[in-house]
Amino acid sequence: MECILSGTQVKSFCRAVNCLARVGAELLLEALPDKLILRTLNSSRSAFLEISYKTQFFDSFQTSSPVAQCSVLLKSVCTVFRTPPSNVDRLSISMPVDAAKVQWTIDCLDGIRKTYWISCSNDCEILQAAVDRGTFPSHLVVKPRDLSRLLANFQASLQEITIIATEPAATPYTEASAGTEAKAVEMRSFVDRTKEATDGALHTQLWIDPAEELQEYFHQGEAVDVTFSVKELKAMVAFCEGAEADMHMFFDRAGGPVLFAPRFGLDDSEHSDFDAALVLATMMDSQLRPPEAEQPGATPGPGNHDPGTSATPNQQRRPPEDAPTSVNRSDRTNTWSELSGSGARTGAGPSRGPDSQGAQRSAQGSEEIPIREPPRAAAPEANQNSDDRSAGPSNREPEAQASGRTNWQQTFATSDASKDPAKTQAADAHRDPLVPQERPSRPHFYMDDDGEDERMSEEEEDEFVVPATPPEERGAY
Amino acid sequence: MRRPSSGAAASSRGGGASEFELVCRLECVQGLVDALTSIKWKKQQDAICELSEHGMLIVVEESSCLQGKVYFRKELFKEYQYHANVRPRFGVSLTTLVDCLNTFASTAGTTALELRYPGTDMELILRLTDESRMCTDAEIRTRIPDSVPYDFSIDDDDANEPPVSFAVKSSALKDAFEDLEWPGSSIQIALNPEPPVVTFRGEGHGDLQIDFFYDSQTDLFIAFQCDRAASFWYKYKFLRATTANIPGSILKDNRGSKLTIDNRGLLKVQHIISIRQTAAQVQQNQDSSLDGRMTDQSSRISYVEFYVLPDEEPVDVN
Repeated sequence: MECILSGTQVKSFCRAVNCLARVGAELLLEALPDKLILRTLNSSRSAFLEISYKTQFFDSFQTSSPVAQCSVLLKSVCTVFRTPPSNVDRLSISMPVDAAKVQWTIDCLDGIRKTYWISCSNDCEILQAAVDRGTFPSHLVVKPRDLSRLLANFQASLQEITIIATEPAATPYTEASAGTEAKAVEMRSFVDRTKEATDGALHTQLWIDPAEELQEYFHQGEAVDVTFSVKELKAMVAFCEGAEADMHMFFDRAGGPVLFAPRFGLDDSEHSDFDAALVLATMMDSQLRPPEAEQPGATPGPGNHDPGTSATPNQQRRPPEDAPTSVNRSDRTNTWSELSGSGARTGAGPSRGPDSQGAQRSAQGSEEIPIREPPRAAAPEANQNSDDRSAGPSNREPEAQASGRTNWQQTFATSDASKDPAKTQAADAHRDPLVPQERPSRPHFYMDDDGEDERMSEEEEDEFVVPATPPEERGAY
Repeated sequence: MRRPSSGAAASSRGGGASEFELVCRLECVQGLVDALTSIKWKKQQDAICELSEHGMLIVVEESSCLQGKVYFRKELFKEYQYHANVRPRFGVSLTTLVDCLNTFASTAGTTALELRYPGTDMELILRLTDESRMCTDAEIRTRIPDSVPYDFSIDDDDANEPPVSFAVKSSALKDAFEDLEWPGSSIQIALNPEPPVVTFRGEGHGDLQIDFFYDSQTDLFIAFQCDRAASFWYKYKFLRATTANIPGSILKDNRGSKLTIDNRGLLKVQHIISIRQTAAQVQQNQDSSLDGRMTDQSSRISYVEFYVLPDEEPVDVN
C-alpha cells in the first residue's frame, strides 16, 4: 500500500493517531482496495477504536494486494507526528506487502525531508468489533464541547463514569410541576467501593435535560445504565471536536458495549471520507438498584426491571443511589423516580464472592472490565428496619447533594431541620413515586466531614444492604 | 560562595587593579551567560578557563570525544586589563559559574559584570551590577586544572583537503537532533555535493533519515560547501549535547549554526551568539576603529564551538 496525504489531511491523520495512542499501544493497519483502516485495542481489551479512511481522503492511494495488514507500535507512529502538521507539506506512507518496516516520509515546508522506517509485524491478530450500530436500541448525539463541559464537573482523575438513561417522558407528578421537564439522563461518577482510597473520593452526579444539552436523544422503556472508562471517552471527544463533528453514542444496557462515533452534519459531505468508532465494554453491574417485588407500592417499572436483571446470577445489587430519573425541576419538590431506592432493598441477587464477577465476556467476546466487589454479607435485611432502609437513599442524598448538578433549580432554601421529616417521609415517598418529596437542602456542595463517608462505606462493607444512619445518630450537618 | 553587598567597595582587599592578573568589565553579561549555558550539557560540569591578552577562553571536555569552547575576545569587553606574564589557567565549576551569573543577572535589563582574577586564594571574583545599581559580589573557588584541553582545530583553508561544511538555522539543527533521539545511539552525517544535500541517519529499533536539501529557494541553508561526498558516524549523545542547551534567545536570533567536517571526520559545530551592547559601547567601538562598520559588526558576536570526534561505523546487524 502506498498513499500520500497533504494539507489538512495530515492534521486529520495526526489527530487520529493521537486518539489511537490514547486508547491502545499497538496500531493495526489494514489496507483494503477502497480504504485504510487503523485499529487499536487497549491492554485490558475493554476499549476498541477503529478509524477508517476512504480512498478519496488521500491525495493518492494504491494497494497492490487485496488486503495488506501489519501492526506497528503507536509510540513510534507518534514520533513521526512530532513534526507539527502545520510544517508538513506532504506525508507519504508506504507499506510493502510482507515488509519488515513501514515507511513514513514527511516533506516539510522548509525543505527538510524526514523518513521513518518503523518495524512492523505481519502476524497480528485481525480484530473486528462485531458491533453494528443498527442493533443498539438507544442513542444520543452530543456536541463534543458540551460533553467536555459536562465532564469537567467530574474529578479529573475519574476512571469510570455511569450514564443512566431514562425515557424522557415528561410526567407531571404534581400540579406544581406543570410545564417542567424531566431530566432524563444522569451522569454519575463510578467509584469502586472495594478500593481503599475511595473514602475521600468525590462523588458527582449530573442530571441533564436532553433537550438542552444533547442534540438528539432516543431511549424507550425502562431506565438503563452503562458504566465505562472515561479515559477513552475523553480521547474520542477530543477527536470529534478536532474533526468538527458531533459525537454519537449508541448504547443498550449494563454489560453491553457502547459505541461512540462522529456524526457529521447532513450537509457535510466532505467529511464522509473517514469514519471512526470507539467501542467500550461496560460493567456488568447495573448501578440502578432494582426495587423489590415485595415492596409495597413498587411501581411496575422497577418490577419489570427486576426480573430481567435479577435473572442474571451475578448481578449485584447496590444500595439505592439517588433518583436516576425524571427529576422534577420544580422549586419545591423533587420526585424520586420509580427506580430510586425506596426501602426496596433487594433480597434477590445476593452478593456473590468477589471472584464471581471475574472476567465477564461481553457480546464481542472481549473481556469486561474486571469487577471488584466489596465483601458483603449474603443476608439481606430486606424488610427490617424499613425506616432505616428507606432512609438509605436519603442517606445517599448528602452524596447527591455533594455533587454538582446542572440545571437543577431545586433550591437549597430549606433548612437542615427539614431533613429529618424529609427522611421519614422518604420511606413513603420511595414507595410511592407520586408523593413529592422534599429534598433536604445543603448549604455546601461537599460533605461536611469525611467521617460521613467513612461511616457509609463501613456500613456498606458490613452489610449487603446498607441501612442509612438513622437521623438521630448522624452528625450535625 | 557569595556575599551579596549593597554596593561600595568590594575591593577591600586593597590595592588597585594592578594586583590582579585580569580585570575586565562587560556591559551586559547576558551574552556570556548564553554562551556558557550552551556548553553546559551536564548537571555538574567543570570547565577550564584560560585568560590571555586576547581574551577569555572557557573549555569543557567529556571523555576526550566532545569538547565545548567559548571564546570571548577582548574587544567584546568594555574594559580589559591584562597583566600577567604567564597565561593564567585554572579550573572552575561551570555549574557554579553559570548558576551564579544566572541568578543575579536580570534578563530584562542589562547587568554589568566585573570580573577579577585572582583573589587572595586564587578565586575568581565577580561583581554584578544591575540597572538599579544593586551590586552582588561573588567569589568562586578555582582549582588547578588536571588536564590540558586538546587544541582541536579544523583548517578551513586547507588547500589539499578542504573540509566540507554547511550552515543552517540553529533551530532546524536542534529540531533535527531532537528527532534523531528516536533511532538512538549512532548517527551518520553525510554530505553530498550533487544533489546538494545533508543527510542525518540513525538506525535502531526504528530507522530515521533526515535530509536537508540545499535549495536556494528556501532559507533553510545559510551556507553549503561540499566538493566531495563525505560521511561519518557520531555518537548521538554527543551530537545532542551540541544543541541541547542553546538558550532560546539564540534560537530566536537564528544567526545560524555551522557544521564543518574535516577529512578525518572531526566535526566542528559552531553557534553564533549575539552580544548585546549598549549604545555607548557601540559608539566607542566605532570611534576607536579605522573601519567603524566592520568592527562594529564583529564586536557583536561571539562563538560557541563544539568538537566531536567521529565514532566507529556501526556494524550492520541486519
